[in-house]
Amino acid sequence: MLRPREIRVKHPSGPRRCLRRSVILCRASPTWLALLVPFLLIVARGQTANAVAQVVGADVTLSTNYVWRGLTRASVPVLQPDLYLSMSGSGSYVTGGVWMSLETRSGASDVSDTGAGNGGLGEVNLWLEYSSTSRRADYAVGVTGYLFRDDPGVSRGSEYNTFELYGRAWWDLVVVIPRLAFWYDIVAVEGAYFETSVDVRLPVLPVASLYVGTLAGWSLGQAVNESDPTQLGYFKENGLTHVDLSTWASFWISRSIYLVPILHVQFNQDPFTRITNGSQTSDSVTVWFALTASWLRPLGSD
Amino acid sequence: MTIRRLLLPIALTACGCYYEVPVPAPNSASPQSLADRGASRSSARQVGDQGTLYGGLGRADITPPPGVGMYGYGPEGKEARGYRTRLYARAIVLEDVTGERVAFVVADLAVISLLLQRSVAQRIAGTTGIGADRLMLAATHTHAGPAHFIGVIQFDMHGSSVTGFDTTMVTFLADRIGRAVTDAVADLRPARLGTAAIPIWGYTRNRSYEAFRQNPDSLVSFEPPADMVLDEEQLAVDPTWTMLRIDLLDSEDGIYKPAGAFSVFAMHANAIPSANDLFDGDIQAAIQDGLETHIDSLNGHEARDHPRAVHALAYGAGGDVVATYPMEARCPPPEFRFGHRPGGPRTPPPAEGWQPAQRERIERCISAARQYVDSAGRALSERVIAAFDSLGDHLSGGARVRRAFRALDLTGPGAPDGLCDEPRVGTAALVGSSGSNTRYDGWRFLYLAPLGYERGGSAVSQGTTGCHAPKRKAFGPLQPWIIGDHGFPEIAQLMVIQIGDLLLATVPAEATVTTGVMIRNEVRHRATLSGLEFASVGIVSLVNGDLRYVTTPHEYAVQLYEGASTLYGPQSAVVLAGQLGKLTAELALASEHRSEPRVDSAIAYAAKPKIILQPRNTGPPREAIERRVIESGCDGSDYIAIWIDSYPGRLVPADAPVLRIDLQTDAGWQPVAWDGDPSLEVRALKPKGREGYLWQVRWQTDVKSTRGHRLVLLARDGMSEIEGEPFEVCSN
Repeated sequence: MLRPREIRVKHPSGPRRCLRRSVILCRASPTWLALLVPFLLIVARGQTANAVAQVVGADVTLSTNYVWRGLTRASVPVLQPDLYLSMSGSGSYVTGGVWMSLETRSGASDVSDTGAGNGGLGEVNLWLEYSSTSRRADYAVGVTGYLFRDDPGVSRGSEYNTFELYGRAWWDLVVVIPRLAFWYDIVAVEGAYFETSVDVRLPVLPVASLYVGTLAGWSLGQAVNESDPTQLGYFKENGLTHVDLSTWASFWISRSIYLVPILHVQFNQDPFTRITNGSQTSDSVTVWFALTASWLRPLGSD
Repeated sequence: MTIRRLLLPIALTACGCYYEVPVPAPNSASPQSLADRGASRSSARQVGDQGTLYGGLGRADITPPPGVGMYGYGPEGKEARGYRTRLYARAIVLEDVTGERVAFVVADLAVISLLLQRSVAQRIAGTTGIGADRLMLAATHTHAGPAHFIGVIQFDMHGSSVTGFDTTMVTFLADRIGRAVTDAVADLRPARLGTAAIPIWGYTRNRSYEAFRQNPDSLVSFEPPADMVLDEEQLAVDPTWTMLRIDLLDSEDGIYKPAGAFSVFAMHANAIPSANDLFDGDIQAAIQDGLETHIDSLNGHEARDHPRAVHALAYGAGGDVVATYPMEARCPPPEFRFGHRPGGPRTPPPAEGWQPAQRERIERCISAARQYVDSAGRALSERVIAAFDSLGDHLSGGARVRRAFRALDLTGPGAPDGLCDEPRVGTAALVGSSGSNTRYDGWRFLYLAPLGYERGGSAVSQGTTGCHAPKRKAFGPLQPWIIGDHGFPEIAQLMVIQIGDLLLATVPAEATVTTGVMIRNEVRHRATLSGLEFASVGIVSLVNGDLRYVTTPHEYAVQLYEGASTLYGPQSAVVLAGQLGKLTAELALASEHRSEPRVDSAIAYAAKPKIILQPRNTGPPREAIERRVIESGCDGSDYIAIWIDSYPGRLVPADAPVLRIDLQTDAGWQPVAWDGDPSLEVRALKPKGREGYLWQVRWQTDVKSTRGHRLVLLARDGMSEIEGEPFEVCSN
């Protein structure tokens, strides 16, 4: 039986590999980081100087399981808070934040990042992005650091610590909302992952729409590298990883808080995406539900 | 706008959260007892020789502090951030030789509520003898006046983007309107009146022509001059400008001098669009101001910041009539789409919400609307001034004043036959009128099924029966539950007043052109049968209450905005015309039998009161504020200055003028723009902690003088006058 721990490709120690969190940067692609991070910091500095508003935000997602890029990372309920601070000016934002995934205690037959019987904090992301908005479009570029626990016994440990550069865009075309997103791992995997999606807006009330969406995930170098087994990989194969059909809506429940319930029905393509719990390693469909509460508040009243 | 707004009425109804406000029943003192007490008559009464008619004028500023919602556009109405023109209540009191006394008051408000009218009457009845049955409180129908005083739960909750009912707003308005009436009574002097009814074509059009043309030809009775080229919509209006000119005796020289006028014209006051966020009297303010300036100049009074004349312009049968504003003066409604928000790689999709149109578009349409208001206001003022002047040779001091009043219960056992038992609103009411469409206009379920969110079309429920048929009721069978008990007004106060040869019939609703014709025909008929002598009949809408619209049965059948907003069914106009006909007959009897109809008390079912009007103790006390101009400069050709002052609430515009702009002349500094001048915008910007509140003035001037100007912050609330640094006019 293929167990979640076994989908990891272990890396022998070597001069190019940094398996400890403290040495992550030793493997960072100097070119990418040298370009992006200073850019974001410069923009942030300019944004601070010209800022018209600072915003603090927080999201909390409660999900029946944690599915990431089609991969079931936890088959137990997870709580995923996200806290961020943003500076905005003339239609653009520079935002930095921290995101965490907290698992409930998992059983022996569950898939989890923290390992059977553990639970708790499984992953921390630190991120910084620049986004620009126009009336019906939104574009963003950013960098995310993925940090995992360094404890023995966890299923996904600090050897997965990595950085990714990412970009995304969406266009609100009234009836359809196409989205594009890409991530490029510059440390551990050194490959790209790409998502294309289209949401269809269905007006069901004058003050609320229901969205039906379809998303396809594509691995472009994030699969196991057969020619270099020392390299980390998330998928068995490159190419289409999964197709996710979802339906969701958003509801303001106060002036600053809105809820997003979302139901996913995912059709799994890549063999690794078919591992949905410890006993079922070849699920063709994954179903999960998540509810996110999102809160935003401008800082300062003057 | 959130889904909360949709669910709010449901929640309110579910918890039974209406708030009962006692509506007082201030009855008038009889003319005899008034005479016995000599109530409030001025000494000037003895000065007149042949004066058998007395008149007095009063005015009160009713401009609230910023921060309240504006009423007239429903949930599209913005929160007021300041003011462009001042809002006033203008009062005219007339008393004839028998002691019969009536007050005509027109306030720069969108509507009048039963609660407000009775609250005013309660304040003045004891000192003036004018109770609810002698107070004709009307509205100009400006859509840029305050909300929160209605006392009808559905109107309180959905009359503006700032929702709710505030008892302090009722008090704020009633106190000031009452003061205008008491000032008018104190001003009673021998008077001479003249009346005129002149046609004014070309400035108005029928916005619901499709409904208008359903009416039988026999009800269309206005003929334009043959030499005018007008389109169908411009022909489908009541062009009658009814004017009552009042000259009062000057006690100093014993000469009757022009003093004021009461006018009625059928035209919505909604040329200023819903995206506007400043109090504004609309075209009506420009016309009122135009004639007042003229009258004051005839009397040698040139101080435009303190007008003495009063021109009260009431709203006629213009429920379906708007000014001929250009389409550029209409602003796009908000769109339901994603908002933009910061976030990261894991944040959920942005929430949907109502997103305003682009700021540049909003600024353009508001600018176009203001230009239209100013130019149309000037043009109409010229016509009105000509009519006023032409009456100078046709004045009489012997007019009689008669009035008949009835508070009609619309839902109880005494409700007149023909009305539906319960008020209901149609789906077309949710989409707004043509030219003032709301964000819901054209909404379709899954893009396909319109479900009535349009004017006409699917808003007509074909094949249905029942009292409200063919109205497609908003929210379908859920409406009784959503609206709740007492959700809409249930009392209609009707009046018929005779001043000399002019009969005025008042409706507590917006009567369409043809509804006005029906009422006029009925009043004429009953007046003739009763032997009343009269020359003309005027219909005044939105007097002493607001039932929304009243359409004819034919108009109702097509369910445009006005028909969907006719709450008591298709026969509403027929019933109201009949009731006003009966009152006309009573008017004739009243001249012989001085029976005093009793005004009954009632209950207003308001939304639960909350504090919306900022209280007087908001922010630091004035002693702690160093009032000063902190920034000034040009924005294009506009002059802009920002100053620190008291918080809104402590600074109440209605209390006193705030500022003016002076021009340097050889004779010293002379005012060129005064507080309330349409060229000035005064806006509350934001708090600045304990330092005070930031206010902004924008002066859009066409003054070409290259000599110096200065901003003057006038002395008020114990604060001394502040003179700003001299500046030169801005140029592009």
